[in-house]
Amino acid sequence: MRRISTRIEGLDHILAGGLPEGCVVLIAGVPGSGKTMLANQIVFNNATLENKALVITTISEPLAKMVRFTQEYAFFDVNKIGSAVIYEDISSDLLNQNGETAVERITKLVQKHNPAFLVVDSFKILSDLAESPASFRRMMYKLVATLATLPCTAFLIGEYETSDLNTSAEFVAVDAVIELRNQLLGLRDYRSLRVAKLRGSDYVSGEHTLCITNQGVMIFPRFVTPPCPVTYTVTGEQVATGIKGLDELFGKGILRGTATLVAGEPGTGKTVTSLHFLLNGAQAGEPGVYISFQEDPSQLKHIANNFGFDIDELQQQGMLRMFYTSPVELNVDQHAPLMLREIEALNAQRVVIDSITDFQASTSRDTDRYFNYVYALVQHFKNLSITSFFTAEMSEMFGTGIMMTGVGISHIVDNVILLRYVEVEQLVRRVLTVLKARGSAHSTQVREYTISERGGVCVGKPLSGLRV
Amino acid sequence: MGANLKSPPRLLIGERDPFMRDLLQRVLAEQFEVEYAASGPVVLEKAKSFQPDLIILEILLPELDGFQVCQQLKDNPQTAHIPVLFFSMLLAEHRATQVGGDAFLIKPLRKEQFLKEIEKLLKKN
Repeated sequence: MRRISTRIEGLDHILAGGLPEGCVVLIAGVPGSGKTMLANQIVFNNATLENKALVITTISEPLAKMVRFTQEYAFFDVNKIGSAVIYEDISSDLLNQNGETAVERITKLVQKHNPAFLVVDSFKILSDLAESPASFRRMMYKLVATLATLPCTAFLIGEYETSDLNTSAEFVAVDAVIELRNQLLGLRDYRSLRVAKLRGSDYVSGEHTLCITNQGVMIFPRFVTPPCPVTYTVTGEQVATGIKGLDELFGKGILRGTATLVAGEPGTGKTVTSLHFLLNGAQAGEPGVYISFQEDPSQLKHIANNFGFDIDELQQQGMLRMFYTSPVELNVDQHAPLMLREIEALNAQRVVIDSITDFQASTSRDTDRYFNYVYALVQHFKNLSITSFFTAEMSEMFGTGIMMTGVGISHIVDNVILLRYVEVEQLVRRVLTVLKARGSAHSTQVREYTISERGGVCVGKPLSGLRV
Repeated sequence: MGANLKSPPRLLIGERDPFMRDLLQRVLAEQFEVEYAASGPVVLEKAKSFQPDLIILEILLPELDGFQVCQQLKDNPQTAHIPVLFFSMLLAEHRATQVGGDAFLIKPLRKEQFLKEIEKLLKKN
């Protein structure tokens, strides 16, 4: 089946390349969710003199208003108006008559213009104005049957709630349903897109992030695990972290391509330890990317300088990239492709994510999403043979009952390094333990470690006299 | 105003939106003789039969859009002399000028500016 590209990057990915040609698509969603814009963007992206688009407005939004606001977006091309994109307004038919008459008018307009693309905005109003549900079903059937005889891909727009979709005649009759949502999460609006139905085609299921910018609609597909099989193979090669005393706890270092969780209480040195792993690697010829949400690049530069690293020089040499995103507006699906772009641009061999606690906050709408996201991220890194460090905040201090926000994550990662404060003879000291090292033997000793400007991070001997 | 104008001057308005037609009627009826056309072909037809002194055109007209209508008006010696004021919600001044439009105003209606532009074009005629 020939596919019509929407020419909206993320959406084509979700639709496995585009919409099947000639399908009838219901774009459903509450007012303000971006339905009109999505349909208009697809038709402006595709309409030509040979493949015209017919945009029919009914009575939910006057044509004047729709055009006035749509033309503010970059996809709008005034030169296509009247030639490649034809607007028709059937509001007068609807103001004076019923839904059946309007469907007849739509059918006539389609036969007259013979468009490759049709938009009816809003279509739901026709069902509201129909004399009865049975009469609406009949007219819906007539319209879909007429469209089926033509090579026309149609978008019927409607203000439907999710619950309407299961019961409406429109849902049954159309070939595809794309639902747009706009939910309030805390103080943020979260816009999303979901394919609820697509006949004769595969698609990426679930909720995908939708953003509206002056370019129009942008879609960020839900970040998922790469297709199996994961190409990563365990080589047995050990990578030196360059942190004194740490590598020997794993033998000679951590296995290449593995993911390590560095968990610890606030102030235990998760960022400093991870920074040393990355910068030592960059100095030794392994390019690395530092993905941060808490400390911005200037703060990290300051920290690194204190330990004798020259971040600017490493960046100029193409061995290091610092990629900072504010955790306040973080959207994981939007962030993932940008992060991977940075990583692939540098051919990074090491990556630090500081911290995954910020992913958890960003995915608060869905607990499973957090684990699925981190799992997908780890698998992507493995595919690229990247050795990664993920930091995570641990909430319980001075105890053995280890309460981590990264709980559950330890199953996903290969290695777990735990940083803690302990009380030894009325003094608080820092200790490090390797809790897990998948695929390699490791020490289980509780080691004291120190952080100093001269020596950096140094893992010392097992701590004696430890009271827990 | 120009010497060859009818009294009162005649305006032909190509506008598909009945609400806008009502508004224009209220704004223009006292000073002008106004005729309306809701589609492109009707504008062309009335431009010959009504012989307006000025044509006010929306771009988004059914059958033939405002650009096509203007182009045909300007190509026809019978109507080429009639000034055309584009009055649209579409930001398309450049293309409107290319097809021979004499002036362009963006909707919504700003009464003072609108009347001033009409007066200016009628004087030119």
